[in-house]
Amino acid sequence: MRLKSTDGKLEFRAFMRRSGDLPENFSVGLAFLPKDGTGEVLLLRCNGPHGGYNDSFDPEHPHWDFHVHRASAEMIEAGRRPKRRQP
Amino acid sequence: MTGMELLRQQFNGHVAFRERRPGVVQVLAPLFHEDGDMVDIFIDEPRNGSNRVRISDHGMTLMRLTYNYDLDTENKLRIFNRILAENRISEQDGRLYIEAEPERLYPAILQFAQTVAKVSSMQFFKREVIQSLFYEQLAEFIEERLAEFNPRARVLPIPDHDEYEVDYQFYAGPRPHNERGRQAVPVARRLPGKRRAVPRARTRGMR
Repeated sequence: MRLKSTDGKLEFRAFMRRSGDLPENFSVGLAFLPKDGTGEVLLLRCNGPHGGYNDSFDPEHPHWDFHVHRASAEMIEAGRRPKRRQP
Repeated sequence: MTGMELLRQQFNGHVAFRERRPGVVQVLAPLFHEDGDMVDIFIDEPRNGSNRVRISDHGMTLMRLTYNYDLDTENKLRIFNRILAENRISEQDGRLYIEAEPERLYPAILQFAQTVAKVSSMQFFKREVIQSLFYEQLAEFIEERLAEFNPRARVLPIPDHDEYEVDYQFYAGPRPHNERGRQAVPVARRLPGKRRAVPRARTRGMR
C-alpha cells in the first residue's frame, strides 16, 4: 500500500502480513521511500505476540507480547534494521 | 530421555518450549534476527507412525522476508532454492522444514536456524544494495587503474549548474589532429531526417 505525506512530498509504503498457521503472528509496518534511489527505510513495525523468552538468557529480548520495532537515526545511518523497543 | 529433555541438555538449559497448537511446540532458543526477534522454530509431532520430528518455521521466514523483498523472479527463486538445497532444508507451501530423529534435534535445529538466516539475508540482494556496491567498485577501479588520466569526481562542466554534474572527468591529452595537422573540433552533425543530440567529433573542413 503506497502512502503520501499530507503535503504530498514524501512517499511511504505500508505492509501487513499475517501467518496462516498462527494468526497471532502478524506484522504491520511502515517504510519511507526516498526519492534518491537509495532504497526504502523501514521506520516502524508492529508485531503480535509471536513467542516467548527464556529467562535463563537475555531478558531484553522478550517477544511474547505485542511489541513495536522502531528505527532510530543511528540505526538508519548505520544501514541497519529497526531495533527492538519496549512497547 | 526424551528428545526435548536431550535438547534442553544440549542447549545447556538455554532453551524453552511452548505449545502453540496441539502437536506444535515452539522452540525458544537464543537464536535471533538482527532486529531482536527470535528465530521462529517449531517442532511438529511425528505423524503417520514415523519417529522423525519435523522442525519447521510454519512460513514465518518467508513472511519476514516479504516485508521488503519478494521472490518474484526466476533468479530470486533459483537463489532461494539453491540455499535450501545446499543446506538440506525442504520447503512446502512456503514453510521451511527439516526432519530429524529425536536424538539429532540439536544439530538439526542449528542447521535450520542457519538456513533461515541465509534466506533472510536475501534482502541484501535488492537493487539498491547492488547498485551502491557497483559505485563503490567503480570508484575503486578508477582510483587504482585510471590514475594516469587524472580523474576528478563530481565535476560541473558548466559552472553553477548542478543538474549537469558528471560522475568523473578524465584528462586524456590534447585533441587529436588530422594529417594536415588541424585539430579536430566537435561539430554537431545533423543526419537527414534525424537530430543528433550528441556532438560528433570531426576534423574541421571535411564533410
